Amino acid sequence: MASVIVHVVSWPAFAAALLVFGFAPGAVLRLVVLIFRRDDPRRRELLGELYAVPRIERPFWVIEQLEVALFEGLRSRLARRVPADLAGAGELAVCYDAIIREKDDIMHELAVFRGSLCTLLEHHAALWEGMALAAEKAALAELPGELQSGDAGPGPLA
Amino acid sequence: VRRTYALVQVAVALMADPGGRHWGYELSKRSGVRSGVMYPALQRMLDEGWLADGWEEQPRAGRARRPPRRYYELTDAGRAELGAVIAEARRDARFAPLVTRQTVRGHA
Repeated sequence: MASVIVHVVSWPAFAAALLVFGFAPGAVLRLVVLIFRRDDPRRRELLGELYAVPRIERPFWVIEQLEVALFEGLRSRLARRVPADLAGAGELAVCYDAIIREKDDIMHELAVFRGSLCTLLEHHAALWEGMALAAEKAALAELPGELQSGDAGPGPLA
Repeated sequence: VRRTYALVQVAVALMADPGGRHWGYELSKRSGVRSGVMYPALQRMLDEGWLADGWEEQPRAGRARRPPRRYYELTDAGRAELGAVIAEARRDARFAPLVTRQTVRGHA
């Protein structure tokens, strides 16, 4: 482990990080919370929480908050911005939406926007089959029972 | 809300004191969930109406010379839902040791 640190970290950079995070975690945190939107209560919350953290743990806690800010703060900023951009390009319509379940119940949501569909299908032919199957199932579910053995009709992409 | 390992851990920590105020850092310590995972979980619970939040009274924070802290309280719906999450987790082999261990620690 020590050899890895010696090889990876430049000592001046390490010393600077130690100095900044160790002696000025509050200042660093104030910069970190700027990633959150102005109206996000997490900004005030994290600043309040800092003083509840034991002094010795603060540098590590602040680094953790950088992760929170990058994932939560940036995502909420982008979530607000992306639909507006897509709407401008006429791409807002979601033509495929799915929940993908993986091992250990980790779940992902997949939403495909109409504008990006062609690019996606070029690279993922298997997805096309999955979408066709899902469309067929959806169409069957909407039909009355006695008609379900018949033609499923066109899918949502037709 | 998806039943994840972290959700069960946070649920157990919250239900250890169902009527009390919960603070972010202490909750993270009690549940053993990193704040990068816990805060999004808390946000989902807030969105679902399982939790209510509030801010520490200004005089108290002022005396300590720090900004006010945000607290979380379980709502009636939250108590019911998280109770169900924990009961469900007890029946699930993946969560059972965690729930038993943390419940005992929570009541200790």
